[in-house]
Amino acid sequence: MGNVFKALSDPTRRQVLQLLKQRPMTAGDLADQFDVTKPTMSAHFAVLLAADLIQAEKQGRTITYRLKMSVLEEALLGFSAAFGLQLTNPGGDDVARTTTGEDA
Amino acid sequence: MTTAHPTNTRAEIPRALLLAALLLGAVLAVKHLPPDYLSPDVARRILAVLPGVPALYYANAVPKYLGPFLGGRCDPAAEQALRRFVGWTLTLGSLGYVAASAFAPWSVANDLAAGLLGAAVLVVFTRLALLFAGRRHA
Repeated sequence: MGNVFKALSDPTRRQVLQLLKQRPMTAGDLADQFDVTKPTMSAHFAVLLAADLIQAEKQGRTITYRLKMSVLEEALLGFSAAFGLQLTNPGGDDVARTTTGEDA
Repeated sequence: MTTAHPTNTRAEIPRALLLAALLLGAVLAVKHLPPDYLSPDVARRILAVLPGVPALYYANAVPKYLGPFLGGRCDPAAEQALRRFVGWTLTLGSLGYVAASAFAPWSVANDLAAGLLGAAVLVVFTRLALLFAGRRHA
C-alpha cells in the first residue's frame, strides 16, 4: 500500500491516472499532455507500474498504458485529487532524484 | 507483451485462504466465546456481516484483476468503463450489505442487506444483458 500512496502523492501521476480513466492511451499520447521530458514521464510511469496502478502493453514500438486500479485505489485517487492531499513518503520521490529538477 | 504478472494470480490464492481462515475463525469465536465477552446481539450482527466481507473484497478487486472479458472484441475504453462500473456497483452494494447488517434495526436488517446487494447484482446483470443484446443487433 506504501507504493500506492507514493504514486498518488504526485499531481502529474494523479493526472495520468485521471486521463487513463477515460481510455487506455499510448505513452506518447500521455507524454503530449504534460510539459515534461520523456525521461521524467518514464519515471512517473515506472512509479505507477511499481504500485500496480497501471498496466503496460507493448505492441511493436508502441507502449499502451491501461488503468489497473481497484475501487478502493480509485476512491483514494478521488480523495487525493478532490482535497489536494499531498500524501508524502519519507524516502522522497524517485522521480525528483532521477530527473533534473523539473516537475516531479 | 504485458506487465500483468502471473504472480498476481498466485498471490491471490494465499489471500483467499487467509480470508477464508479469518471468516471461519470469526464464526468459531462467535460460537465459542462466552456471553460475558460477546453479547448475543453483537454475535448475531457479526454473523450477519460476515457474508458481506468476501463480497466486498472481491467486488473491490473487479476493476483491477478482471481481465478483458470480451476477448478484445470491444472498444478498450468501453470495456474499461464497463469493468469500472461493475466494480463500483458491486462494491457499493456490498458496502450496503455490510452496513445494513451491522447497523440497521434487526427486524429489517437481513431484508435490507439482501435487497441492497441484490439490487447491485441486478443492475450489473441488466447492464451486461443490454450490452450483449446491443452487440447481437449490431
